[in-house]
Amino acid sequence: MSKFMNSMRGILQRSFTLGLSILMAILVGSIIMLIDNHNPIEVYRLLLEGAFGSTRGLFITMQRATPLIFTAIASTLAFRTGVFNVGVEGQFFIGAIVGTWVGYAFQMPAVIHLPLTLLAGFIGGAAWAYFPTVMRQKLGVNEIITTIMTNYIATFLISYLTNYPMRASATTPETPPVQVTARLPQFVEISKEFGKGSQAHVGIFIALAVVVIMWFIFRRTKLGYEWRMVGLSHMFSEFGGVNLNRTFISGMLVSGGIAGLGGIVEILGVWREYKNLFAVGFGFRGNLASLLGGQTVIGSTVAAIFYGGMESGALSLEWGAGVPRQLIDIIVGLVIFFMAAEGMWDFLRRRKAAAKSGGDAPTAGQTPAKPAEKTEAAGQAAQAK
Amino acid sequence: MTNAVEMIGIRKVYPGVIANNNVNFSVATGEIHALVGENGAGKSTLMNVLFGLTRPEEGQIFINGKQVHIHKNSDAIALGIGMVHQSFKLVPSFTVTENITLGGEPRKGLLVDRKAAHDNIVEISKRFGLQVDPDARIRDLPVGVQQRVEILKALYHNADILILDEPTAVLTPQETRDLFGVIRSLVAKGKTVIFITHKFNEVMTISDRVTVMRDGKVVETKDTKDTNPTELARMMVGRDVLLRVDKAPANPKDVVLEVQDLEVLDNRNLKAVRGLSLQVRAGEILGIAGVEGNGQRELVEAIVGLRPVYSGKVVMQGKEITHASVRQRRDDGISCVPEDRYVRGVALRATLEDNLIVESYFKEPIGRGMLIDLNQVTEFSQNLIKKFDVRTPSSKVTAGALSGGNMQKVVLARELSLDPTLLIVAQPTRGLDVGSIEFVHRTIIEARDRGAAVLLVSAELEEIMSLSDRINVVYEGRIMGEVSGAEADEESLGLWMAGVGGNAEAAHEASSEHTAETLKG
Amino acid sequence: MDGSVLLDILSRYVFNIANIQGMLRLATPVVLAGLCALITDRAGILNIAGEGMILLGAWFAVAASYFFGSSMMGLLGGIVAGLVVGALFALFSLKFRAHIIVMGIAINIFADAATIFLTRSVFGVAGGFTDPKIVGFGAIEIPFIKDIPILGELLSGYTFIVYLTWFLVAATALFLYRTPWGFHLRAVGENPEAAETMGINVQRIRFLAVMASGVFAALAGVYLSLGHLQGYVDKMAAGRGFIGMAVNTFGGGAPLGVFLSSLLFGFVDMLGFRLQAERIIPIYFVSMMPYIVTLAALTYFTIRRENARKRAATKKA
Repeated sequence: MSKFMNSMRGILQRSFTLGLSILMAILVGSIIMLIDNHNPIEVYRLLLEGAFGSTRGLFITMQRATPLIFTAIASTLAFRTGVFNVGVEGQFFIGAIVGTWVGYAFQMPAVIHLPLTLLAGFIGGAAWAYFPTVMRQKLGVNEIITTIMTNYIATFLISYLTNYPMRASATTPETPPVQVTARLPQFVEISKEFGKGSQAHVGIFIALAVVVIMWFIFRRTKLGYEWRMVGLSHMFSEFGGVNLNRTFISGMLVSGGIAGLGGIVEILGVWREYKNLFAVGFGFRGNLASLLGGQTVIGSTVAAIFYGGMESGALSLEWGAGVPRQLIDIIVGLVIFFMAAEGMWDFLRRRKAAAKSGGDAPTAGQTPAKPAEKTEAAGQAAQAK
Repeated sequence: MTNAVEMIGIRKVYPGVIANNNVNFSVATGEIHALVGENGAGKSTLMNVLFGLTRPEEGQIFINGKQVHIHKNSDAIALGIGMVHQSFKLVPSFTVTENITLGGEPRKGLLVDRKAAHDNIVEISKRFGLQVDPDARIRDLPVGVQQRVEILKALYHNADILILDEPTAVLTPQETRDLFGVIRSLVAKGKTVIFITHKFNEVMTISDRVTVMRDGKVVETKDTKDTNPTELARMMVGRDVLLRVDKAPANPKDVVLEVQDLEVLDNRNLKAVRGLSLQVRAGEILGIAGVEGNGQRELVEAIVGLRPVYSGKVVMQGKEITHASVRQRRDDGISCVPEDRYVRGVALRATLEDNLIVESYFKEPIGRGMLIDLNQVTEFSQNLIKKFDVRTPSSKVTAGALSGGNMQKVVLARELSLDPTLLIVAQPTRGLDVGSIEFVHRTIIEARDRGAAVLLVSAELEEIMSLSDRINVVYEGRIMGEVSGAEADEESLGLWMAGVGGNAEAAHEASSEHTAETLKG
Repeated sequence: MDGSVLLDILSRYVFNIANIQGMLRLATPVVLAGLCALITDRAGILNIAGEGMILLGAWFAVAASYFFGSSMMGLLGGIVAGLVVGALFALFSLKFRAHIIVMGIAINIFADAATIFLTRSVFGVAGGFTDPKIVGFGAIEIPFIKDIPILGELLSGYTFIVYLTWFLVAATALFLYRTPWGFHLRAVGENPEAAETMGINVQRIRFLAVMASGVFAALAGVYLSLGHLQGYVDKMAAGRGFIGMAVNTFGGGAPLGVFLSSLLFGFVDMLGFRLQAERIIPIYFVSMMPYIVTLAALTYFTIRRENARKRAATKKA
């Protein structure tokens, strides 16, 4: 029973850490603003109001959150199978360009064209994830290095494509616009009043559908069970008869596919043509949103929406109060700093505990300030068993 | 004559384990002292204390008659203690010289004096008769030479007392012979050697005295010439508590599992199972006795499908499954309670439900098409939890939150849930309390009585003797001999476990020719 | 494309001194980014924060140069920024056990945002900042050497940072392969346990390595903002932090290897500029090559290592 309570306390502690991290980031952010001659309280108020306080703000939040939901879910899926997919960035681009091509090069009725274009985006992203995945699984090459390389190959490949074979404009490197039959309508196109002043589009429904589907897969399907178990313990899964290679590769391909789908949805809804490197950073921000959301489907979705909201708020802040919108990335960066540093919280807790016990000299073998020794002892205890 | 090492009343506790319980241990100057015991007996902990890698709660250490306080690794090195670990602590891309001088490089200004280092190594290797090429890179050297580099490293740092942690585990017979030559020449030059092992023939060959440890305590220290392998084996695996198990006589039926001339490689790609054959029949428990590290782990992994078979055959109910996948074998009715409970047996961070369904999620009634029926999962899990009396607040807590005994119940519940034709149980009661041990034993016998073939692998002789209907003793990857459970006595089992005698004499001779060679060397 | 055209291209774009000079210049920040990756890689740390460190180094170099009116103060400003980021990175990832990749991504995003933010709030401009008050590094003509035909042109006339970089390549090589600390660093990276049992403080060495990587990256930034241009442009690192990881991988983790593979990148960059101007063949394939070659090299080395391991295994068994 007490162990059960302990695990509950663990969850509470983690939420507490997240809250505290956000608080500390807000605090550091306030200091930055004070130095920059802004009233922090006013700035934070405007930020929240801009993001969630008006219909227009909400729609911009939705627009900014849409691609992030895809990349965050893609990261989460990879994380859950035990991989750090830094390649989401490149998979997002490749999905976008492949989809764009299908979107402008073919003429067919919308009922076929739109799904086909989306599918092309998914396949593009998955294909781009294939090589690093196989290299890791078959050869044991570190996937972080390979995905960073493939991210760059993706950007150059796309620069080539938009500058040469797919180039439509004489002045700027961009592709022809996608056919109307492949576009995702923006809300403002559906009704003039609805979503005015934003480019929010129905792609958000695709994003949410992906969220629901992924949640369902993880919870209710054999494939999802295999993904989860391989991520939790591949030694156990192998023992239980799960095919590690197949599970791992399928996880990475679907992760890449979702990233690619995010890329094409952003194109079809917002841009309607591929402008060279139209949206750098969605992949990496997705990685962070996934981490903020505790690497769960629902958590990372909420984090992505929140991240989108902060960006939307930051935009209105920039127009309204002249505070650079990059402030938001600074604060998110800080939250990640504080959150990722589990050791820092241990450190602070120990300090507090030490202060409480009147600063007694720690007894030998239990020196609290030496984490290295602690882990060593634990390792040996495991061996001794 | 003073003792080189004198350890008195050493006590070291890890969470949940007393690794060293009031241990007294002394080594005379200039002797070769063997330290034997099973994994987890506390040998490594004791040596880690001596080498300053861990600090004991209690106890005193005297080196050459003077009391010392070893707080850290470098204190021990400064006192002239050197240790050659089982896994070498070498840098593969460095040369021999660079590895030996690491952390104590001769300097010339800001730079390393490479000539001095080189000359130093040549001199030391000549003085102790340890031949190495000082400029060779470690990654290009065979394991035996790497070990020599480790010894030289200790000598370079002026070690007078050398601890060798299972040094022959990674060596070929020739390399072992060379090593023994080196050890003798070191002692001839006044060094003291502590030799950790669990191979008795080596103890008999090389040591002057031997200390046996068991369950964190020293059983006895003897002059080697006054003891023999059988006695050592008994001291090593003997149990204090006698566990009674009631069981009806076995009713063996058809052969379920047949293993033919099996050869399997271990993680270092050395042959761990060397031409082993056995049969298990429905309705009987075949116990595999033997000191750990004689190929048991590899045998089990090869039967279950986790480790490729090098040569030979595994046949299940007349069907060859030598190269079948884990899942195919499970479909054929193989279940297994693995030795690594915390690594293979459960996924610590997953819920009990997820742990329990890993072998049934893909088939009816839990799996339906591509889906998993969550109601079925809960029902299935709760049935098993109730049936096996797993003490847990809910089926949705993580496995890591359970005690060792309850965790093992989860493993048993899962493995028996499919009503296996063959049940393999490896070290099933390690680390469990008496109550849990009894439960596990009863469950194994019940499985037998339901008609399953049971293959029990255990390093605990008592467990083997009380559960098995037939006993095979494994030594260096082969079966040394067979005896029925009723006729088994510790004496003869101990002999076989030590590699002596047995009805597989001829086979044994071939397998352990290197031991014979070593004896001469 | 027939042979004569190729020859023409080669003579115009490759074998000419101006191009080689261009290559050396363009390679300089890549070399420094490569050293940043190298020093952490050799200590066994996967540092992907190079990109962010370069940006911060570049920004603070410009700021210091602008406010103090001296290029050397700019250099100092950049180095201090690099040291501070390096120390923070090390503190969080080593002492506070934050995930090293997470930390890297966070620093990259943070640095990108922080430099843009700072440009706007300190200098009140967006996109970039140039000002006559920013003192950059001028070209240095080396006496005597500059008068030697060809060689003089090749070796003389670069900015201070270029020479400093050459020196650092040699110094890093000397450090790694000839000093005790270099041995300790490499031992920590290859087998930390081996180092630890010989009384080497693994944590401290890693900490210092991360701080050194901050300095190398910052120098790359200083070169970009005070040596190459004279001013700050948003996102001016342009991926060089990651390219640094590529040249380190391709260069086999050796300083000379990093230098030579950086030249390859510099050459490709230079070729890119020229071909861009003439629009002969798409430059993007050329730009892509180094990454593809790096991937190929990585695959090749891994396969070779695996085969060697297997051979060794069968020999024993």
